[in-house]
Amino acid sequence: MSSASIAPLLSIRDLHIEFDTPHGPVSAVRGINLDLAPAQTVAVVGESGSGKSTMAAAVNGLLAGNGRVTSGQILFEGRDLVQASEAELRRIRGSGIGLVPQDPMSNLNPIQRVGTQIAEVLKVHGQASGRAAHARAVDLLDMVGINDPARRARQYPHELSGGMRQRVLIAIGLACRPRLLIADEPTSALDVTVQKVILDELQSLTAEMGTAVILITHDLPLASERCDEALVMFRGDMIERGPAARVMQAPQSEYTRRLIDAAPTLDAPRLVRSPTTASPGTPGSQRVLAELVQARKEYPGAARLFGRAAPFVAVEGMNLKIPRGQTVAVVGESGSGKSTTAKMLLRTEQVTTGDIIFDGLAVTRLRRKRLHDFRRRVQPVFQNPYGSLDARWTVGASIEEPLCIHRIGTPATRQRKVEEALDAVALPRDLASRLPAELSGGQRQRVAIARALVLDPDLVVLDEAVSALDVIVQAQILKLLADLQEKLGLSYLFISHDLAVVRQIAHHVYVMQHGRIVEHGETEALFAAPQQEYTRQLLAAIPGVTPLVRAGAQKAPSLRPPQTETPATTDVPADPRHRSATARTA
Amino acid sequence: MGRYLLSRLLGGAATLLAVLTFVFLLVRFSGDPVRLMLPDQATAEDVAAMRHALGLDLSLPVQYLTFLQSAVQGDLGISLRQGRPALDIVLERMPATLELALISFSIGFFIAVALAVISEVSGSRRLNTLILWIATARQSVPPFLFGILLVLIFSVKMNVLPAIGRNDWSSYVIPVATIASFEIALYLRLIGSAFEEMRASDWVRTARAKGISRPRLVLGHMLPNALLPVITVAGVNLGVLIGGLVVLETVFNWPGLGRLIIDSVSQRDFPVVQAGVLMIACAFVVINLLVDFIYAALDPRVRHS
Repeated sequence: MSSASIAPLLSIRDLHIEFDTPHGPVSAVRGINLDLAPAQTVAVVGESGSGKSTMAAAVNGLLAGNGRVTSGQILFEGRDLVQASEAELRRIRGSGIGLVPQDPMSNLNPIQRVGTQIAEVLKVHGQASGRAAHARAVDLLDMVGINDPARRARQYPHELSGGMRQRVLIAIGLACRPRLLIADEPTSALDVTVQKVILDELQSLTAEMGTAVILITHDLPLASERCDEALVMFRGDMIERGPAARVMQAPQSEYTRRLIDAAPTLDAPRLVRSPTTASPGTPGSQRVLAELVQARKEYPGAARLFGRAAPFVAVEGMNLKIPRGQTVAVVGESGSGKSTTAKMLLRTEQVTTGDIIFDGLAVTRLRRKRLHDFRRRVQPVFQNPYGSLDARWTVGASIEEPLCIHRIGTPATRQRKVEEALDAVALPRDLASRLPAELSGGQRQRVAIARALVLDPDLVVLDEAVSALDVIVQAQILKLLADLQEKLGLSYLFISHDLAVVRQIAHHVYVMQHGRIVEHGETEALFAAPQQEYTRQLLAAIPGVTPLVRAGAQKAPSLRPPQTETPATTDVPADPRHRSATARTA
Repeated sequence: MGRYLLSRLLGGAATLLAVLTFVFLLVRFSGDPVRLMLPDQATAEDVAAMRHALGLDLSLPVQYLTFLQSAVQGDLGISLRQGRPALDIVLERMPATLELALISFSIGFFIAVALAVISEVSGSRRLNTLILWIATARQSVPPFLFGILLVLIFSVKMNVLPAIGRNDWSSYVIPVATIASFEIALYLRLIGSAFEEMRASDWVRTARAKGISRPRLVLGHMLPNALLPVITVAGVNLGVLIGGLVVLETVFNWPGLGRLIIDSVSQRDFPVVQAGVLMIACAFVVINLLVDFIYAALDPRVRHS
């Protein structure tokens, strides 16, 4: 594992990167050092804004237009890429250094066949031309595990699933058998079960080709599982570097330790108490707040020249009970119908058949005034805190709006309620006059929660509400949700693809697949003894978890319980200059 | 795909029907043509006889149905002034307008694409700004004024190009330059902003990470994507251009459709107005159908929906 004996393939020396912004230069990466031997793998771990992707972009010479390396060297096979001409870089890109980018949905040319896009990299590097290049592209698709590769090669990106598109991107990255592959969060946008398969594939292919890998990730357990070395970054600085297993088990820095602690694992303590022993199993009917009864949702099929295709059934035979003051989680992969379930309960999507019972009354067909009243009692919080707040409204105005819509209170009492809501989510009151752009992601999600709470709802529907947050912030928000539930007696419907998170927060879990519930039960029972193969697959796909750890037989000594206090460093407003600079590199 | 194109065809037919109805009503409600056609000393009997001969004494719905029936058969009435079929008169003038519009549009569009591509391939911010600056300056001058300026310079002062009329190739230069320069500015800005947006996109960065050259990136990847939104605008805009040449045809004394319609309106020659407006609408519908076909050919996502 030591790279001293072999000449390094890549050697980064004291790298500094800056972005020019209207407010002057902003430093994004400071003093990174890294040596990577051939065929070695290194993980660069950090939260969003840590500079990890910026560093990777610099290696490829693909920094955003306003970014530049201010000092330091990037030696690739002895040649300094910082000084290299654009033509030299072009020869290296794709052939010497491959890239597998993050989001498979946005990283392919939408109007070009995927085979053509793979063949192009072979053509520009003179490895094949014409028909031979296309034949090689088909072989590459086969290599990355795509069935019927000849047909797929002729298809366009929109005809392929996310997992398949990511495989296409891997095929492009590895087409010329590069010596170095930069994998920038290659699976963050994919479902957990697909994630594991893709990572396995990537790992075996690079091992076979002898390709060194820089794996950019926010997921430390995943990094330690897959890589030789790990490099932890925080706000542009290198915090820690060492063998991945050592960094995971005996972190040297306080920040790394926090990162590890915050990562939801299946042996972390739960944030909620199990349902009282008095009501085991299914809760009694008087304690049920909301219920879906045989709910079914179908969407009309695609329009054809004559008539329509068969309708698409998103959810079928859905029976779900949400007890008062408890959290019910719905888990499953994308497309499993979990978000549709949330929308049906919120009454933003109408059930096709079946019923929705809320507080003892059927709300399935409510309209106008009574629907309006129902909405006051059921409030949503969505995944993306950047998209769910109006950028031109102050935080206070956003939180107050539901009160205005429901004509609650006078301006003065509304103001008080806004302040109370901010108190409840542990945000300072003076934040009310700020705009979302001045807030960090975690603060924005707190604002979204405050907006939901201001109406004193009975039920809050949390649709992937912590999925877009960095692990440390995520842990804080989960703690907040659990506290609020304790204090206000709230019920939650918690939609998530992340079972480790679900285990921490939920009392009951429903597992969905292809629009149906395949398994449900009390959280601890379900995690201890999953009955269905699909549930076991979901559990096994969580990185950093082995069946042994799950059974509690082999607990890593360094794992500590999550910190309950709010660490101040990560949830402060992000410097807007810093963000505008890093956003451009994303 | 089949359904997409069928729906576009039906949409086109509905548009034409709407236009037919509109011109029918417009002409009926904009003054009595019979009074204008007859000499001042005509008696009430003369007027009534004339109205009867033209079918104007029938009820509006009956007139409408008769109008639609003959329109479908290609009969748009007889010119009240010239005594010839209105459609023939319109079709005689149509080529002059189409010629001017299509030549100007094609030249403008291709120069715009070329300039945008050159600027993007060069990657020079300064060149980009310069081109955009000139384009904006040109766009801010109204076409008729710009045309008159060209006439002043090249016809009056230098005497190298004819100022008006439609004769040999030289008479095309000033009108085409006037319109095309405006089109260049329009499309240059559209394509430029599409490039701008794409430059920061994920897939362009991924394409660059393959090691492809800038010309290849711009021509092979960015331009086809940038043209998708642009051709939709181009279709509408070309239609507007054909219908909107009236002013410039007047400035350059160009014997096109626009001038014919203007003249016919002032003469209350409503069959010719009807036929002219209908032809412009037809051109509009046909162009937009073509755009829809081209769009489907370029964008697989539309083709497969």
